[in-house]
Amino acid sequence: MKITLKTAGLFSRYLPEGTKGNLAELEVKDGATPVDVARQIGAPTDTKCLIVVNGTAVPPSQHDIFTLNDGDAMSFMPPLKGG
Amino acid sequence: MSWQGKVLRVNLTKGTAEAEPLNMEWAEAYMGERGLGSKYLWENMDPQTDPLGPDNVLIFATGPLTSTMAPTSGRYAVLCKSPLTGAIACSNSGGKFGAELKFAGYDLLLLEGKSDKPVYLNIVDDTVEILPADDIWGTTVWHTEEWIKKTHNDPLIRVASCGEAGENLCRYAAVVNDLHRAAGRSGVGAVMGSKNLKAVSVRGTKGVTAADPAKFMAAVKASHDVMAVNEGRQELTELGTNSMIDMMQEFGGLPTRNFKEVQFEGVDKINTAAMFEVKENGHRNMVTNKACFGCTIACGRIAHIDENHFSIVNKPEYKLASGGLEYETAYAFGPLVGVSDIDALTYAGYMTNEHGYDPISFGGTLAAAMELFEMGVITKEDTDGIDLSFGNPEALTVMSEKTGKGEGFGKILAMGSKLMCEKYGHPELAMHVKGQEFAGYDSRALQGMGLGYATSNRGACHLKHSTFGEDMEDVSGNGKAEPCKTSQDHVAAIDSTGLCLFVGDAGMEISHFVDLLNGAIGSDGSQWSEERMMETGERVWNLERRFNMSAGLTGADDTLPKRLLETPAPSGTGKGKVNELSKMLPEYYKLRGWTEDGQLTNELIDRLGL
Repeated sequence: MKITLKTAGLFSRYLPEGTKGNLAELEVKDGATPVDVARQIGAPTDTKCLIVVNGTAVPPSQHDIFTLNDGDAMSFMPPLKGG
Repeated sequence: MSWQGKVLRVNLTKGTAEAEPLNMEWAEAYMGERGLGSKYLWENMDPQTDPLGPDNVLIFATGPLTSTMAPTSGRYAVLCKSPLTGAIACSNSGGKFGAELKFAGYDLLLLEGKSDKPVYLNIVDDTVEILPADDIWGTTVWHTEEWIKKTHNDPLIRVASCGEAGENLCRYAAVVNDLHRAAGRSGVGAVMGSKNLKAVSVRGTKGVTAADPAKFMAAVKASHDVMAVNEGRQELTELGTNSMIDMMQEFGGLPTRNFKEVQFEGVDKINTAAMFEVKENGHRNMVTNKACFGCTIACGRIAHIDENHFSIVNKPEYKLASGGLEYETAYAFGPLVGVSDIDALTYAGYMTNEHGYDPISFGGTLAAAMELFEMGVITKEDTDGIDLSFGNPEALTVMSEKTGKGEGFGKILAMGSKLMCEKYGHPELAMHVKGQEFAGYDSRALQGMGLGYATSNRGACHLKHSTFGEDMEDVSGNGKAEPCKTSQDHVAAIDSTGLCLFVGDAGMEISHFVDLLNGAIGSDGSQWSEERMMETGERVWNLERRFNMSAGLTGADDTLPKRLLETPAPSGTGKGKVNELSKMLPEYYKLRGWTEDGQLTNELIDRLGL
C-alpha cells in the first residue's frame, strides 16, 4: 500500500533519495505501523518522535501498534520540546 | 569555590556601591542564579512594594557554573517584582554578560533605590562607578552598547541595558545584553528604567576557580561528549529553535490569531525551510548561527532582511545582519497575529532587540488588539491610521516600532494584553496568566502545558516545566500533575546552576550537572546529588510561590483564559477539547503539599527551611 510521508527539520534526511521538499510517497507493507515505516527509511524509532496520521497525533505508546491504511498521510518529526 | 563569594550592593538613591560577602548559607540552600537571586529578593524587599517604585529591588544573579568551562556557562538571571504580573520576575539571558560579571568578581549585583537622574553603572573588577547617562538616555539598546564601548575605549566591555521601552515603562520591557540576547520576560527592563538606570557595563579580568580541576574538567568533557553526538543538539545547531514551528503545526498546538485557531496556513513561509530558502533575487533570510559564551549548541540565528522589503525602504541601518527568528518570535509575530511575511517578522524581531522588549508579550498584545479591531471596538482612529486586521504585515512592523519607541498606539500596546483589554471593556480577549502572555503552545492540545502555564510563578511561561512527553501521549488532564510538579522542581534547579536549560534538549542529564557542581564547588559545601538538586528546586519553587502569596496573589490566579477552558480547539490533535485544568489543579496542589486553596503550609515552610 502507499502512504504519503511528511517530515520536518533534520528528519528530511530520511526521505528517499531524490525527494524534493519534505513530502514523499512511500510504498509500505500492508498493516505497517509508524515504527515499521521509520525502520524502512532508516530513521530512529525513538518513541519520543512525533507521529501524526491524518491530522491526529499517535500516542508514543501506540507507535508500534497503530496500523496504517492505504492512502494515509503520516508526519514523522522530531520530538516536541520547549523553544 | 566557583562562587566568587561576593555581592555588589548598589543604592541608586544614595549613589553608593559596596561589595559584601555572599551569604554562603543561602548559596548552599538555593545554589545560585534563579534560586539564590530569589532568596536575596525575598530577604531584601517587601513583596507588596510598587514594582515601578524605588523600593523594588533589581538583582542580576549568576550561578556557581556561570563563567566556568561547563557548556553554556554565559547565563545570568534578572529578578525583581514584575510590573506586568505583580508577581516575582525571574528572566534569564545568555550572551557573555553574565560570565563577565562573574569575572569581575561578583556572584550577584543588587540594585536598590532610584537615581534622581539617568545613570549607568560601570564595573571594572573592583572599581565601580555610577556615571551620568544623559548622552544615552532616550537612545536604543544598540546605540547604548556602542556608545559605552567607545566612551571607555574598550570593545570587550559587556553591556546590559534597557532601551526606550524600559525608559517608557513598557510593562514587558526587557534587559538586553550583547545586542540581541535578552532577559526578555515579565518587564524587568521597565524596573531598570524606573530606577533611571540605563545600563550596567562590566569588564572582568579575574577568572573563576574550580575546587577540583581534574574532576571538574572530566565532567566538562563528559558533558561535551554527550552533546556532540546528540540529535537534539544537532537540530538546535543547524536549524535553531524555530524547527519547533513545523511540529506544533502538525500536532495542532500552534496558537493562531489570538488563539481562535491552533494551526496556521502560512507556516511554510516562516519556518526554518523558509529561513534557508534562496529567493529569485538571491536573498536568503538566514545568514549564520551564533553561540553564547561557552556554548557548543549555538542555537542563535543571525539573519537579514531582503533589501527590497517595504519595512526597510530608506532605512539603510537595517540592511545589516542581526538577531533572527527563534521559535517564540516566529510564533508571536507569525501565527499569533496571522502574518506570514518572513521579512516583516524579522524586522519586528530587530525592533524588540533594538528598543528592548519581550516579543512574546508584544505579539500576544498585538493579537488581542487585532481581535478588538476586527470586532470594531477599536478603529483606525485609535491605531494611528493603521489597518490592524489579522495578517497585515504593516501592522506588525509599524506597531513593533511604535511600541519600542513609545509612540501613538504603541503606548497602548505597551500596557500588555490584560490592561489593554480591560481598558476597552473586553478582558476575555486577553490571553494571559497572571498578566503575562502565552508562549507558542496551545493548552487544549497540550494539557500539561496548561497546568504549567497556570501554576508558573511568573505567569504564563513554557520554560518553567516540561510535560511534552506526557502531552504527546494523552490529550487529557490525566496523569499530568506529577510530571508537571517534578519538572518544575527540576527546571528550577537547572536554572540555579548558571547553565542554559537547552543543554537538556541537547543530551545532558541531571547526573552531568551533579558532576559539574561537585567538581566546581567541591569541598566548600556538602556534596551535590540528584536528590539534593531536586530538593533545591522544590525549595526555589516554593520560595517564589511564597513571594507571590505575600504580594497578594492567591490560588485564584492559577487559572487560564476562558477561551482555553470553554472553547474547544477547532482542529488538530486536541480537536474538540478544552483544557482540563479543574481536574489537574487539585491533584497538583496536593502533590505540592499546599492547602486546597493553594497556600503554603507552615509544615512545608519548615521542611524546606524557607
